[in-house]
Amino acid sequence: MSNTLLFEKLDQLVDDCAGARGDWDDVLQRALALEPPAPPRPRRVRSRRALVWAVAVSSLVVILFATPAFGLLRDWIGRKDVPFTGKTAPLVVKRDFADLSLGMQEGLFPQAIASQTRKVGVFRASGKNYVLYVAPIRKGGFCAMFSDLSRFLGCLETRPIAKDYPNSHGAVNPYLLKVSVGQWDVSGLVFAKDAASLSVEYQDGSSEQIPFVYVSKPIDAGFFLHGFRQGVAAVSVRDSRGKLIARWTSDYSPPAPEALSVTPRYLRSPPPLPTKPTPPLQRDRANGVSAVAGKNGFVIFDLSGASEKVRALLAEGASTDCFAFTPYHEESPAGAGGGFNQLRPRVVQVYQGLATPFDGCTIRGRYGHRWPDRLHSHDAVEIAFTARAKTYFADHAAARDLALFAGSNRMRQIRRLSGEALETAISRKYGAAITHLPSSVSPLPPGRIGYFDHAYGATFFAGEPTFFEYSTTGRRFYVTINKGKIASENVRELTLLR
Amino acid sequence: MSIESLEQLYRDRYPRFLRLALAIVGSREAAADVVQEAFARALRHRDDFRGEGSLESWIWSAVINTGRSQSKRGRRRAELERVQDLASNNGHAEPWPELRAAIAVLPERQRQALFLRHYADLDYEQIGEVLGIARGTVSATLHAAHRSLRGTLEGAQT
Repeated sequence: MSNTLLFEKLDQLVDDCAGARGDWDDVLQRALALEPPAPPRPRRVRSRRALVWAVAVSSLVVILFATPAFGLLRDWIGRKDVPFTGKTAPLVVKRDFADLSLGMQEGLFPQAIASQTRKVGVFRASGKNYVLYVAPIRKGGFCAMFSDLSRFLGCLETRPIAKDYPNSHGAVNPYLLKVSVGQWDVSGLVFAKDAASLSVEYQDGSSEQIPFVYVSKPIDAGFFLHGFRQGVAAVSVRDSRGKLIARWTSDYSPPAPEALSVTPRYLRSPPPLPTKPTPPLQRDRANGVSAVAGKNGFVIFDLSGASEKVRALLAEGASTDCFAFTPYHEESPAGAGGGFNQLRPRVVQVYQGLATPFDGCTIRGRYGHRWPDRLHSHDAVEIAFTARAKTYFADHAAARDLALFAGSNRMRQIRRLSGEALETAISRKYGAAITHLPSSVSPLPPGRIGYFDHAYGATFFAGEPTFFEYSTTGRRFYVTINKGKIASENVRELTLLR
Repeated sequence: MSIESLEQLYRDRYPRFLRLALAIVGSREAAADVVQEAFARALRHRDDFRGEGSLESWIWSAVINTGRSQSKRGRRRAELERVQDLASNNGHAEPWPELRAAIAVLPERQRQALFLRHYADLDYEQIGEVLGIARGTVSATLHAAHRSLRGTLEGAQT
């Protein structure tokens, strides 16, 4: 093999990323969020005396842990301090935090610094473990959610209410404690720095101490989740001397925060919605439909010139989505959606919380997608403001086409087969529409589905057909089947696949 | 070093930084995260830049180091296992699985030199500056990497 051929293969192995654009503002924000470089730590010389103390304390800890009473001690302590340092959360979690602003009205974006998301604890409730992730937000405060996304604790910009409350309402501050009672568990936040224990009182008069984690700055808050079998009547926070410092009860409404001197942003009235797109404007046209998008997220779709085919596809309503490739959405863009139930000549949408300029918008008819799909798996209207959106539309259509085919009921039956049985079944059901390839690298025109069955290549891998489809961009999509199930694929990021 | 010079470099070379990171970590989203993180760290620690080499080389190093850190956090391990699985699967799920697997088992320095040459598009001089090795060593390292990859591919074809 020549070097030239090797270099060609190397070049094709990694996407050339041409046209990718970064987000310098995100770099600046990440840099600001990073801890300043730590000064060199003076070297400590451990004396013999300190060593003796360390051994003594360690021994005591070991004894305590080995004692049955430790369980009680631990429950009594209640608080576990967690430093907000160390490795950050997985990318998928960071993406969830980055997406919190999508669809939020201007002025109310939580602006979580997704890159700083960290795991801060694991709680057990209702027989399941829930990992708690927390991210700081740009103007101080945090967003918190559990690994089960339905358990979103919320975003708090700052805690001005908690700070303001004691001046006017005495010592027991309900705003130092935020409680959410579910059907089977109670969760919440503790803002009292000196909180040492947390207790839950039940409606039958019983009570118990529950554990909580207190996360260091910049989060500076405590978190808890605890399962129970009966109704919660109250939650109390006490300091290390047992003094009550915050209390929440199910039948007590604290004074309205609006009455206090400081109103946090999340309680303020949102600014009015924009009424027209602001420059710089983005414009594009597809299938007789034009779109104008403004920097403020205001988009006007003009459907008056839509082709008959498009009108038919959108007659029963449609969803109008716009999207942008943003950090954490390099492959599959972040999108915000709207829609209409009746076809109108002009549709106006305001997409908030989504970074502008947009890369593109789509209008998607409310019809079921089946293979072969209408418009060859493209959406009814695909507006591309950027070259990247054009690439995305082409790749998305090819990936969806292959996914619809591989996941169709008919194929779910056929894909259990291999060798001649597979070839015969595909030929009988699809005729020449599906191409049998002699090898995995055989050429295949874009938009066509082909398959290569390992039964013909290596008997050891019999029963693992791989289906391919090339996008017009040259990107190859594949779905490999093993024993009737999808063993590997590269279409899921762009589409749904069963 | 000014923030403006870093920003200029970011805007001018972003696709190449992204491609290098993509080669290291294997997914586009993780790669974008690596580039953002590398520049954020460079910005934060810009006072550490002593000006002994070029700013660009310093940033290439930062991207490589951040990519490696991310890989060590497990994601790349999973990706590598996937690549190796694909290779052992006769590799019909991704193009040239033998090549991917062969790159994965190259010695670290060879792999970095290979990535900097083919995905960052740097010349031997710049690669030497980034990796802290002499130009002649770069040449020998790349030669060894190419020979190793050619050998693997030729073996796979027979």
